[in-house]
Amino acid sequence: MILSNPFTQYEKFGGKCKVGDIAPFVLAPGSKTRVEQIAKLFDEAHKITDYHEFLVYTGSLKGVPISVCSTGIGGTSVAIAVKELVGLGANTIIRVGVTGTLQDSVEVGDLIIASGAIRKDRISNYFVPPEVPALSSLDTLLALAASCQKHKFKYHIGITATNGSFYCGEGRPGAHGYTQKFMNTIVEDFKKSGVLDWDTETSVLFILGALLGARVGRINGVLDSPRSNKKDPNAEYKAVKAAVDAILIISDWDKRKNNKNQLVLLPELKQEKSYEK
Amino acid sequence: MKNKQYFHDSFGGEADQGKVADTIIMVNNPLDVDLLSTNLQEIDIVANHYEFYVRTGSWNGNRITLCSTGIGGGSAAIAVDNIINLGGKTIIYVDFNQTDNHKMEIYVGSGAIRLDGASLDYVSKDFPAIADPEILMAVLASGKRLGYEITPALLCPSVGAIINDEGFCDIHEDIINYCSKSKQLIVFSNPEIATILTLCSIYKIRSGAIYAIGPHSDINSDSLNMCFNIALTAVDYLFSWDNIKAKNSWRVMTPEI
Repeated sequence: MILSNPFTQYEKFGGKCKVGDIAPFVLAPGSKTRVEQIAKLFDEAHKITDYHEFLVYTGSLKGVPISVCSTGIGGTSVAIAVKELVGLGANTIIRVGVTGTLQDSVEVGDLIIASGAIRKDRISNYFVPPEVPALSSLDTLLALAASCQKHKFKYHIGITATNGSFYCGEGRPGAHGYTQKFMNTIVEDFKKSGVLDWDTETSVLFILGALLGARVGRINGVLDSPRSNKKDPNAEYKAVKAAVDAILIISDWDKRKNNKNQLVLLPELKQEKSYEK
Repeated sequence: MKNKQYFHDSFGGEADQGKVADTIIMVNNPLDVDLLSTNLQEIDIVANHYEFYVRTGSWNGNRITLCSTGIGGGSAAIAVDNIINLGGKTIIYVDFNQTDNHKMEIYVGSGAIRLDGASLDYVSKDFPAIADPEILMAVLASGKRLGYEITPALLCPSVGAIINDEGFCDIHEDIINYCSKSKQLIVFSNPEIATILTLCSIYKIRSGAIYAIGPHSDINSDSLNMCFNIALTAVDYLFSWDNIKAKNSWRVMTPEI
């Protein structure tokens, strides 16, 4: 058996990055195009590397150091990105993307914040048993919600489904119309269990982020719906805007926590208390 | 005409029907597509969508399409479904990985172990990921012609090695035991190979994989070019064998009897 590890080549993004190149706060979209759009929102940004599907910029916004890194599509490349980003200095990673919705209550143009993810990716099974839940960090979830409220974006919080693939994993036919009977119930089963949307990355981000001690979160803009021809091209921009401002909110909350171990900043109470982790 | 019902169809709507050749060579790194397409003439840029960079060009009078899959089965599945819908009929995946080995080793996949994640969305786990025997033979013949030693091997995704310093994880233990008892050569490789072989087996599309590992070098592109040339030479054999099969009404090319 040849046991050489082909994944060592991806370490530090092909050896092109060093500790300090990545800011503590990172936004992680899927595509390189979105990275360049996000980097333009920073006060200043410089390219760190362009390696495989990982395009990385680091800069700052209102004095907060921030990086943006594309992860590509699917659990494997996300796992590589998360592992390398955390190893190079990230402690908070927020995924931002676009999706279609499964629920009638969610409209095209709305934003969806994932509180947890169904682990149909199977990549995360390499790291922990499938019974372990993939959860968003509380800080990031609340910051994303606060950001949406600030911008008056309509948003929902709930479970997302992370699948192994875009086509058959989400009930769409493969090449030449390929289908299997088990694909026929995917959409309906997810809908009945209250799943708001789906992708192929979030559960891996949540599981691996937790394993490596990073805060993780995810926000998607609803680009379209399978039940109507409606599309909202602004959905992507709204998700990006909400995610960028969520980073500023978390950074501010971190400064206001009584000490480093405080799990989360609470809304104002009648008597001030600090809650230890 | 572009056919786009879903977000990634026709690579985000960028790829036209007729722009993709019958023969596809796939790599996982989009940045390698433009590097390798310098070996071809009359390059047509078909798509640049997410990690899917697609170019079609000519080599030895034949049209070849280069397509990147990204890392992993999730993205590879999108690449395979779209490239087949756009006309692909033969897919050869090539990759080179730097390791601590001090000599070059080149393998051709006889099959793959389905630890990729994505292929389970398409068919139950019992379904085998098999390389096409003609591609396997063509690659071995190509190695012989070009002077490289190429060995058939079962290719095993090693995704757990992302966080495991030993290079494999518990899920591989049974596989390792099976291989040492059966004396089967197994090589850790990229998960997209298992996805490509499984999906192509379902769709009855010829597919195979060339996987090389070798010493760290600043001239990494030379090693990848080597793998690409092996694939192109294999394609030469496949084209001539297809002509022979058509003339004789054979279903598959075999050694002479």
